[in-house]
Amino acid sequence: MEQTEIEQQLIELIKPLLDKPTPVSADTDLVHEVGLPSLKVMELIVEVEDTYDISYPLNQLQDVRTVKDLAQSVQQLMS
Amino acid sequence: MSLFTKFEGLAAVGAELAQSGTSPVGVPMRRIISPTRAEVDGREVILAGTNNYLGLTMDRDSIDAGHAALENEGTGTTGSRMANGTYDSHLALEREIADLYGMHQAIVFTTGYQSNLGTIATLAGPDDILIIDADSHASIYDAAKLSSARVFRFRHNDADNLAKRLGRLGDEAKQCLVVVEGIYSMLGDQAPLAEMVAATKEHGASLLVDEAHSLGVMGHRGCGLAEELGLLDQIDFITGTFSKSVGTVGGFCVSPHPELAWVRNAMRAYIFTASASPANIASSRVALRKLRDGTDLRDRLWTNARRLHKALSDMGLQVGPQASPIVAVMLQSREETLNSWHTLLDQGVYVNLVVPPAANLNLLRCSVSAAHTEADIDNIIAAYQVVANQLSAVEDAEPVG
Repeated sequence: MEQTEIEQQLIELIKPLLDKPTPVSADTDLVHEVGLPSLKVMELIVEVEDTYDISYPLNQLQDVRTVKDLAQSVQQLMS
Repeated sequence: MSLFTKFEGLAAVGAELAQSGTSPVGVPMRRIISPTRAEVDGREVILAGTNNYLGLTMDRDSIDAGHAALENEGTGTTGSRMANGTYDSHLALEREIADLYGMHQAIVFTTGYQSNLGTIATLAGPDDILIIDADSHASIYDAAKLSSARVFRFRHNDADNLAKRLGRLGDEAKQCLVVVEGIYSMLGDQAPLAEMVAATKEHGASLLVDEAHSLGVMGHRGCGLAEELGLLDQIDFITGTFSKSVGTVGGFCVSPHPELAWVRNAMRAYIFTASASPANIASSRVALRKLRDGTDLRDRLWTNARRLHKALSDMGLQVGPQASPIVAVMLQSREETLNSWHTLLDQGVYVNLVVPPAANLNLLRCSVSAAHTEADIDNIIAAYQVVANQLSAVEDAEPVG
């Protein structure tokens, strides 16, 4: 699967987790720009794991800032 | 921007809570009258949020044992268990815990938090894997952070979701520690332990059960959920705390594996902290015996728990999924929860207020005790009825659509 395709799918998973509608792109910083609290990030990861049938190590989250970062790590875990 | 900038959001929540009058955060207990009574804000209230499940904090024999140890051995050990802080009484307590569980090894820690931190973070090393329930206690999350293992979460109480994660690991599952809790601290629901055991065994992983809220509460000898379900011989590690049903401070890990002895002196949360005071250990030993023999206490506790859970559910309040000594009411917003907490306090009942970011829920969290009388439970129910009436009045006043 192309990384850009994963990015678009991730954006769709992220939108319902936001308190108010906010534009999200591949370069959006999940915590600092859209203010996704850590508990919501955890919810997102469970959704991501079920969507792609992967196990996402929580330790890897510290390197994730943007949707693009997340897509990249998801792609690596799928390969 | 300073070091404090990141705490501004937390400070704002604290200020909002304080503005409403008596702050629910660290509410001062001016005078402790009994395990179920204290003076708060100038008046006597029923304590219904203390995790004092068996009411043992004021047990005469436990207090006397503490007194004697204080006189004979002093106020503190001034040292780590690894150095000068292991007294005969620490070792005796470890033996007694191992005997209670019918297991080989027990380690006593200074707090329950440290039991999880020491056990989980040390057992799961850099080449290992930790799989934890999504609703795990902060001590388990902190242990996961401290451990250098790879960490995965599974959906709360979902054994299939756990099995899926174990399945993806293949052979690596043998290097995996799965962590669940007997009773979950926020909603009082229990782990489906038989299914968790089956999933863990099938993949050759190890299972740790944190019985913090189920110790003294479940099982004939009060060992917890694993004993209640006849699964004690299927569990690799059990952790627990003395700060709830035992009524003191401290914690433990117990295991059928003799190799746990090798782990003891690698646990930083065990080595680099002072051991529990002699008085604390002496009181814990007596209280643990009372806990083991206290089937009458457990009967009273569950009678109270079932009664309160049913009454609140009948009122239309949204309670946790199963009856438990933790009776939590879920509310919609922080404001509603805070107002309801004040209403309960005005009615003479103290419960715990839980709002984000402490958890992802707005809760009035009540915990009942064997020491609550029938009249206490009547009063708690009556106080919640006032809350339920207020909530339905607000609902009726809101415009439809």
